[in-house]
Amino acid sequence: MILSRYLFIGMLLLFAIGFAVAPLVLIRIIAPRRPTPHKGQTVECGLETQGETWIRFRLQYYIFALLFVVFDVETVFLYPWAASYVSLGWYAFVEMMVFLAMLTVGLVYAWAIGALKWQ
Amino acid sequence: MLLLMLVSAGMLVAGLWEILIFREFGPMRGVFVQIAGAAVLCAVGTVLARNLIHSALYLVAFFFLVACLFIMLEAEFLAVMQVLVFIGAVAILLMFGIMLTQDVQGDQVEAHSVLRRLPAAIVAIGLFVMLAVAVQQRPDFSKARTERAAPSVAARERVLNQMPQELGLDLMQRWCLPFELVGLLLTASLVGAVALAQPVGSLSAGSDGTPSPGSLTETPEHLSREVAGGTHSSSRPDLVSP
Amino acid sequence: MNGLWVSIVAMKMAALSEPVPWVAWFLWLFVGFAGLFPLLVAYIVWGERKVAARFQDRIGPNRVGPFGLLQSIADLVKLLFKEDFTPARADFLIHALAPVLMLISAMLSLAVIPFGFGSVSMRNDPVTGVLRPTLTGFSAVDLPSGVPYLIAVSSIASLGLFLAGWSSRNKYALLGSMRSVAQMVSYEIPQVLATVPIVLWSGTLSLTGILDRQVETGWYVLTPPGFMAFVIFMISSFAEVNRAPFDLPEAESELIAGFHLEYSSMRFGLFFLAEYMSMFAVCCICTTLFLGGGAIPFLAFPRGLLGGYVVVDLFLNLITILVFSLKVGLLIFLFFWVRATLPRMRVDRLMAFAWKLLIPLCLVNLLIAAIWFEIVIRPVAGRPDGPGFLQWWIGFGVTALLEVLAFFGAVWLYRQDSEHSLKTWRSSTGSKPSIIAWRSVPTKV
Repeated sequence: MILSRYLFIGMLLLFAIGFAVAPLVLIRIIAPRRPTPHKGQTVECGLETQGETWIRFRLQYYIFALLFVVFDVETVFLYPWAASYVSLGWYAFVEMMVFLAMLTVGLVYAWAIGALKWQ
Repeated sequence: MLLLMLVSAGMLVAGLWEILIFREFGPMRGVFVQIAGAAVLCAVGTVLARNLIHSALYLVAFFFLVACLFIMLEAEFLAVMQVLVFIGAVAILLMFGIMLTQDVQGDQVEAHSVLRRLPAAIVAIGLFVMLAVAVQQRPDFSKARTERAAPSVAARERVLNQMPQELGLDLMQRWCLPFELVGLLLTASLVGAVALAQPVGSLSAGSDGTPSPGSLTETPEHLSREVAGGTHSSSRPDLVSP
Repeated sequence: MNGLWVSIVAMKMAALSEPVPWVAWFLWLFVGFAGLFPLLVAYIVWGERKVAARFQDRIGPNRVGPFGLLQSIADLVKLLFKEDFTPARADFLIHALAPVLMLISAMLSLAVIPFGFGSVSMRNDPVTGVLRPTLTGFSAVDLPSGVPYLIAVSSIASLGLFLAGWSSRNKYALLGSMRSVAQMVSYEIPQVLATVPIVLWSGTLSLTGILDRQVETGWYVLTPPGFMAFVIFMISSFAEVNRAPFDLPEAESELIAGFHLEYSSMRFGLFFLAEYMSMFAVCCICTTLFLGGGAIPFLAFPRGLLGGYVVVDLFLNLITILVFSLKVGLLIFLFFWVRATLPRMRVDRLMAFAWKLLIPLCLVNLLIAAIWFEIVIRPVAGRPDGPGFLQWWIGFGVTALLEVLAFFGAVWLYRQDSEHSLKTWRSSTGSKPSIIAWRSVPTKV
């Protein structure tokens, strides 16, 4: 049964959370805590930090994340195709190649227009 | 902690609701109601959180709970893909999207007026009603559970172990055309996004800060160029703005 | 949270008549995940310090215990007694959540690794469809969607990394995490694409099924497309676990320490633990997918011996687990070696390397893997004796030739881009070009 396998995954998830949180709780008890205003400052290599940290970042990051999502969705289709390939004929091969060719066109376009260039 | 508290409160409410409404404690139904209740609470948290990153995190929790629901439906592959695509990829896209937008990353987000909330509320309620009606009107909605004979445990296990293979066979044979169309859609979104993002003047103005290919060290300019707009390091207006 | 799991357990016991291996699961949890794996990680850290010291002509830790064997334990104790503090402007909860997410991601991926061969049971072969004795695998659970599961849980780490940088409210930490998330998502694509040939040849997504297939037909790394996939997988794994030469998020000189700059005491220790555990996990995954798991090289595995007597099963599993650990150890040594040898890559080169070289290469490799499948695997599907000598070598020759062509084609394509062309390099530096942009390389005087 599928649920029993995931019962273990759930148990492991809880266990991992516990395993990670336990030291955090432990240091609350045994480690010293003497906060001072200067200690709580943000690190800036000896200077006082200026301005806001949460500022607008470049579009570049978003573009790469978007490319990543597209290729991630592609894997959703690649895995079942690969797993069932033995029971399928040449047409499955052609179908997947058409699918991949379309994505490759997208990748080539992104490359050609310079979107893959990190600056 | 807030998230955890909200989730456990949701469990409690869901449990009470379940006792009140269903009267019987079926184990599967109990689990479902608890997960669904927590998911609804996470969705509410997504809407109500002031900080957009917190809001996105509630959404991630919601995605995870939806994956749990898929597991309950014995759709293992779907659950794994839910985590892979939505938590692994879409969440990152959301985070980068938030970092891309001016003045929303922090905690000084201005409240929107009722005038702007009203259309959103109407659209949300309308969508909910539409979906609810659509689900209710499916002819097999009420009959399916009672009339279809449950397959044996062994048969189910056999099918479940072959799930990815069966999915691939169906995708390649019966759903061939939709599959290719999805490919086209993906390509269109890829090309569209890249094309839309490109003409922004600040991005193509690489002349002021593009490192020469031979620059051997990573200069401080290189660091500051990561912030938006390709501004030159000496001015950095977005770093000193109030 | 408790109510949920208690009721799931109740549901299990009430609704299903199938027995659940509680004892085995609790042994896995409390011997494996609570004891053995963290201990292993502690000694991987010790090993890295020793190996790195030898590479740099030093001795390394040698004060705490014989050969410094207790050094990691001492470090742990030190970290536990360091002052626990969060920066005043940080987002407290998310600051604590980030390392937890990273550790969850590393631990969950160890759940499906078949460390040993387990026993045998009669199952239908995914490729041929005939009933034959199949290895059950010595893993905590065996999921039918094992490979995507691994990718899914390891992609949670990038979320944790982003949150660590964001919640610190430090410019350097945020920059470091933004960069490293961009790096991780870029290298996840070639990593995923490199596993697809393996799934293609095995006809299953279950890791135990893949292991069984390799014991049957030989290690996948020994085929040309498999070797290419192995190399790409390893390179992307270096980037996925943020190790040198892809350790940009932790670039000391540029970003002070990157995303964990504002973390101290055991909070930092959790990041450390997660990094080394995910390195261990990635080596385990690589061993399972490409290096035949616990199979002994050049020996046919006596499959018939399994499943008869418990003592024999235990003994054979012990051997396979030892062989598995040896292979994992070699891969981990590779990680140390690369770290001691290669300097850090520049961020633009790093992204270009993933998108312009590895991903095209992966796509072509997938095509070649399908050709290998058609030449060597499909014609003999259903025959018990496997591919003939001649057939195997024809497949090897054809695919090896194609792989070489693909590799040089991809490099040629990469060089066509003016950004990476040799001409630009020579005109600007006059030095020897390389994929890696050499920073100031320390030379021994």
